[in-house]
Amino acid sequence: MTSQPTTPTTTATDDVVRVEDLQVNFYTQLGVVRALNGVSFNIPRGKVLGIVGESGCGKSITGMSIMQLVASVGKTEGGKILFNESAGGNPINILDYERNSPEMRKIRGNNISMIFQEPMSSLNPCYTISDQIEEAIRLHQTEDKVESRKRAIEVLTKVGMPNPDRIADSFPHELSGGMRQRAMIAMALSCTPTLLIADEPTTALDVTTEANILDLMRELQSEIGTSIMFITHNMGVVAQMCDEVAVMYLGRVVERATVDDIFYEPRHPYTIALLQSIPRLGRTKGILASIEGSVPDPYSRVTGCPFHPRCPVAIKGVCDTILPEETIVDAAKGHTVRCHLYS
Amino acid sequence: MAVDATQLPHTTATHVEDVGQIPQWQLMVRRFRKSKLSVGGMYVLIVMYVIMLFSDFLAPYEHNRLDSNYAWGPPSQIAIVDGKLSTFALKQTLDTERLQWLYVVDTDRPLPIQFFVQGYEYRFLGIFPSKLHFYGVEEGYQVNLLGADKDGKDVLSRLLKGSQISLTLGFVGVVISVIIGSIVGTASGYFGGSIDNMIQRVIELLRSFPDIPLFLSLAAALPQNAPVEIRFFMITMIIAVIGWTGLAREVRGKVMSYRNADYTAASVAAGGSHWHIITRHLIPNSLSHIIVVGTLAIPAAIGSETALSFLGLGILPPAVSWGVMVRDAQTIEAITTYPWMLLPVLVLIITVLSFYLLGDGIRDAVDPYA
Repeated sequence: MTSQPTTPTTTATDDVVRVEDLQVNFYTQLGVVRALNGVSFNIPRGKVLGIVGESGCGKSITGMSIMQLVASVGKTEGGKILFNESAGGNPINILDYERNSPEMRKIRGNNISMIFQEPMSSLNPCYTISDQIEEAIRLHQTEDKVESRKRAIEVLTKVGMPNPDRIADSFPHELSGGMRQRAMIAMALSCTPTLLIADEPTTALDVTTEANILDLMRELQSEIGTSIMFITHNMGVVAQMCDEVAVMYLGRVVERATVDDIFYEPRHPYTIALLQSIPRLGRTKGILASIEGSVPDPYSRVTGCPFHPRCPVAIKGVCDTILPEETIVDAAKGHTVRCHLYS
Repeated sequence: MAVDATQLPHTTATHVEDVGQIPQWQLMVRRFRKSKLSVGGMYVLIVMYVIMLFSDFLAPYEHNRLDSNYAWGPPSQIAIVDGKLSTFALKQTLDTERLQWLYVVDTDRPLPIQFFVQGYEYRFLGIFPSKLHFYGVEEGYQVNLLGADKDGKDVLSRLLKGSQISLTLGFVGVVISVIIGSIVGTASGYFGGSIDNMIQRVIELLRSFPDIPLFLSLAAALPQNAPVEIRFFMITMIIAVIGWTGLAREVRGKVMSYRNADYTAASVAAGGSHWHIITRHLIPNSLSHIIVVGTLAIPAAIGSETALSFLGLGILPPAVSWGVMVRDAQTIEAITTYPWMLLPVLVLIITVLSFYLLGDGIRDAVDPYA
């Protein structure tokens, strides 16, 4: 692969990242797992994009692909990931770089950073919080120890750590789960990245802490202007956090809309089913709706629309043979859906 | 103060919490102190090692000084005569019926115990030549606080001299096996694949040998007439070579789990070198475990040395270790008639027990949150 930036087609909107037809396959001993089958979406600058879907639909792999962190059994077999650092700048295709090239390492952590689900396993228990934050700063920003320490304290203050001076010298185990996640966010933001990928950052936390962390992220997002790609399976979190939503099913984006449209005007049967299966407080009667069947075995391939075996409104002879294309439902709001009902 | 619900998420920012007040090592010390037995074991061992350092100074006689006037001599009696701490001369007679030496305390001939006397020459800590000894009696007589063996060698002097070998050999052997075990275990766990496979098969091969015959054949191969230092070193190596396999396996397991941790993955992604990853992430995380396993391996190594010497394949006379002394005490005669010959066994038990208690305490302490 050459590390020559590709000139992209001119885009009307200013996107931080534009993923085009991304395909990732895993070659395992049991067969080929097609994790991503042509994922396309964009993350507008300064916005929060939510990626929702069931377990195994490829949410995390999408995030990892942007960081080029997919395990070596996973092969990126097509598509583009165009990253544009500043508005009006020249976007670069991340996939043009080798995963362990110096260029990729410069982007990773500095321009794009990531927060993971489990803050405890992400922090090394042997080093203090500031040690670990400073490492990233020293790697990407400044070599100076005094300066990096100052920045570490600054960023800890920014994420609302009480008594940041002391927290900086604490070990991970001395902090609560919420504080550890704050420390992780601090680390991710320490180099003021253009894009922050948050992979279910609040799953391991209790609801109160979750609310705190989400508020904090929202606040930091509007303050720093970082774009966020928020990966979650929790629709409640989506409603609270996101500006736009991409719903994924079996390695494809099936619906892409603003957060309001997703909740008030969902089009894809899968999105509708997902929303119906959320339990609501106060509703005591009736059985909670669920989606029939389960996600197909990852080694097999479903013909036609991947959702058709579970779709309540599948059209016989159409949905089970032809793969639906991405159709625009509302051009003004950028609402697109992959379903034969709308084509 | 009323709580404003809309400000809830941010109240933590100004609120001071008592977090990170106590450093981890202090927590460990606290946890360790809780276990009285371990603290006791630690103090016993500290005393033993201090005594070991001063063993030549404390011992009144050279460990292989013979004196037929004191063969199987009983522990000396101590009394205060004329305001002086004294022992007494012994009258030696032969019990012709049972062919035993009989000793009668001659109370008319008190021998005042002298302190800080000149005696045989030794090197303090192996460097400073000295002749000073803590105590002794008039030339021509002997004071055997813990009795004497069949050649009239002072048991206390031998115990003290023997500690120099018995207490260091196990320790040094374990240090060496910890070093080998950590290096091999880390390599095995970190690189994985065929390297891991090969190392594990070698370990299995080594472990499948029965311990005692392996010890025996290795020890039997040692030159019999080698100087004490060489023999000491070789036995240490035998103990180390046999002891590292278990540790290597444990380190491998630990390293494998830390290798998959997110912070290690991040280091790999950021281009960290193998050396950087191993020394910054893997070793520090496994260190507490290595220390615990090492501490618990020391008594086993001391036991191995004793067993070898007891079988006549370890340290050989005229050098002395506790194992050699236990070998001297293996006759029924020694057990029934001269019970002071069994003192080395008691000392060994105390040492090994103290190490186990200390190891248990450290194991609990390194994970103070468990």
